[in-house]
Amino acid sequence: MANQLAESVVEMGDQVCLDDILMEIFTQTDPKTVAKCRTTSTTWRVRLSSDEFRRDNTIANSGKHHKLLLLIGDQETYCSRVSFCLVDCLDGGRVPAPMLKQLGPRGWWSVIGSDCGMICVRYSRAGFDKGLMVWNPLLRVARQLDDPADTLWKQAVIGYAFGYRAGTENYYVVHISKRYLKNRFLHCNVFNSADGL
Amino acid sequence: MGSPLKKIMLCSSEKEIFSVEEQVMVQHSVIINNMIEDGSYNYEESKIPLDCVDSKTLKKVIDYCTYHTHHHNDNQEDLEAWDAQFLNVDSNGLYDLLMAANYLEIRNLLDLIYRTIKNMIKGKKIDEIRRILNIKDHGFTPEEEEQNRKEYPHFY
Repeated sequence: MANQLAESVVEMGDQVCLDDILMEIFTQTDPKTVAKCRTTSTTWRVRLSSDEFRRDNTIANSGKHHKLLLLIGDQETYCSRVSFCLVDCLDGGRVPAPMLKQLGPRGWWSVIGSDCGMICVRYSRAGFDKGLMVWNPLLRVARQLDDPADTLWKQAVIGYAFGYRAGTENYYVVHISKRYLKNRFLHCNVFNSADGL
Repeated sequence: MGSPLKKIMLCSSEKEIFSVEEQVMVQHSVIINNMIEDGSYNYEESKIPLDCVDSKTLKKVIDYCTYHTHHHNDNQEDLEAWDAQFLNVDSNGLYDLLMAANYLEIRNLLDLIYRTIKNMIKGKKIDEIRRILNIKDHGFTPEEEEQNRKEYPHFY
C-alpha cells in the first residue's frame, strides 16, 4: 500500500513538508535501516549524514537496539581480520562491520569495551605508538581520543573501562593508573556523543 | 479545558461542518486546545476552518480522537488492534491523514503514522525503499553504486 506514498505527495506539490516529516521519522528509526536509507540516493546520503541528524538519531536510539560484538570477521571471512561482525541478540541477524583502516595490517588493537553502539579500542599502528579510539561500527565513524595516560609510564596504567551514562548523554573512558607506590588515580576521559558520532 | 459536553464546529475544505465534543479535540489537538484556551473561539458562532483537510480525512481524524478519548482505559492490545484497523487505508489516505495530523498537531496520531511508515521501510531491500520514497534518480555514479553494492551486499 505504501508504494506510492511519495508519488501522491509530488502531485500535491508538497515535497518539502513531507521531507521534514520523513527526517523526523528517520531520526527515530534504528541505525541499521538508516544506514540502508543512506544508500538509496545521494540526496538522502547527505541528509542522513549530517552531524545534527547523527546526534539526534543516536540519542533517540540509545539503549534500544541490543547488539553484541561476537566475531572478528563475518562468516565468510572468518579469521581474515577484515571485519567485525555484529549480531543482533533479539533476532540473530548478522551485520558485518569492516575494520577500521586506521588500525592497519601491522599494528595491534584490543577492545576496551562497547556500550550503546560504540566500541572503544586501544590500538597501535606500528607496535610502539598507542592510541585510543571510539568507533561506531554501524555508522562507520571513528574518532581518536587523547589518552592522558600517554604521559605516564606505560607500566603505570592498570586498566581501562568504557561506558555510556544516559543522564549526561556522554561516553566515558576511564583509566586507573598508579603514580606512586601508595597512590592510585582514577582518570576520566570524557567523550561527548553529542558531537555527532 | 471546557466542560465535556460542549460542542465545537470544524469545517472541512469542502465546507462541510462537523460538530464534535470539545473535550475530544482539546485533548488531542494542540492547535485546537490553544484556540479554545486563548478565548478566540465563540461557541455560538465560530467554526474552525480546516482548509487543508478534506471531509473524508477529517471524519477519520475525529473518529480517531473520539475513540481514543472514550477508550483510553481499554487494554493496550485492543487499542493497538483498533489502530491497525484504523490505518488500513491506501497510500493517499495515509498521506492525507499524516498531513491532517501534522496540521492539527495530534501527537498520538502522528506517532502512530510514524510507526507505520517506519515499519514499511524496515527490513526492505534498497529498491523497495526507493519506491516508497519515490526516488527515481538516485544520483550515484555507476562506480559509487558498485562500491555501495560491494560494501553493503546485505542491503540489496
